[in-house]
Amino acid sequence: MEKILQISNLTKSYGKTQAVRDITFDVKKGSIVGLLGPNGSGKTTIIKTIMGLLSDYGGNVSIKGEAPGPIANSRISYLPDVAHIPTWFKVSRAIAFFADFYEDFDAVRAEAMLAAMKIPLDKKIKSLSRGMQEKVQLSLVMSRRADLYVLDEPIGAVDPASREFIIDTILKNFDGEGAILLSTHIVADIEPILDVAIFLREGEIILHDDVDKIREEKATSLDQLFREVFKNVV
Amino acid sequence: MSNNFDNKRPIYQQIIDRILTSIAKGEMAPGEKVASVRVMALYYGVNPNTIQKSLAKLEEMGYLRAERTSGRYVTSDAATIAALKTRIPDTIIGDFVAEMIGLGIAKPEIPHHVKEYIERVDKDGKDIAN
Repeated sequence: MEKILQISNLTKSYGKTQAVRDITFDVKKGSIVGLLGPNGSGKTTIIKTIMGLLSDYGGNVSIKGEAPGPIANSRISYLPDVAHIPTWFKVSRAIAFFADFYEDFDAVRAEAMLAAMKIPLDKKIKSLSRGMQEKVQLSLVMSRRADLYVLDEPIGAVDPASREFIIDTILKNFDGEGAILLSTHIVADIEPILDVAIFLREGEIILHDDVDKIREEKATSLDQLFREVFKNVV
Repeated sequence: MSNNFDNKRPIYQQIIDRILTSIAKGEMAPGEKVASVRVMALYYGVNPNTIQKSLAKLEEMGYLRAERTSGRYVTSDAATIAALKTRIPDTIIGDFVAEMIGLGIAKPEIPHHVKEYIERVDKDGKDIAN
């Protein structure tokens, strides 16, 4: 399978602190890869490097042969770990904003998704509940036809119904043409949709395998394994 | 979305078992068209690649058959389905026995538990007391 994202020997330090060390993995077309680890394990640093938001790193990062930067970014649909759409925007304006910005944005799809959730388009984003805001963000991000979707902590919302919605939204819009890299520290809900799991601890990869293989070999769920490995951290 | 998968086995195997049960029960009728990978992925709340893997294995096993352009169908072969119907109780009993042993119930005790239970339920397996 074609590799959409390739990272080799990525190292990044902030001053004397090494945030990530010797990170190597790739994301193949049609696959969903999970970056799993507690807060501070380096998930967001890796994602920010992919998005061209950090310079001064060691190693190599390539998105379909392109180094991180504006050209690569036009092929990546990115959900940051903090809200990225101005909250004074009305929902309709956020849609127009995405349509202006991204050639691969499917406004009809986004509107259909938001309508299904009964989110009024003429409401300001800040007037929606936090869970709803997250749903709007994810719907917009998943309405692009990108090569790579990078989702940083997509399941922040606490209530289980929202988690189910988020997983559903990801699955509904994942057509096998692209690939998904997502980070989380809540493994249980996301486990059934992952092809590959990468465990990060203190900036290093400590496990990297197919989820099926992990379950087969260790006779345990990914979630149980995660809790065991990080039992003193999460 | 019904992702009540057990923790010990790969999800694709558990989906294979669920589909086989549906075929044995006739919920998926012989010769019936199977839903698309997409639809099944949403139904089970799992990765489409997982469904793909399950369906490919079921094809290898002869329970499904792929038509090049129109998708996958449940086998129409009566012998295959009949063999499946005799195989499935074994799987269910296997899981049950493993659970009972896990609870610390000794092997020779298990039939007594079953017998006692059977006497308590009606012909549809419903508890008479309730």
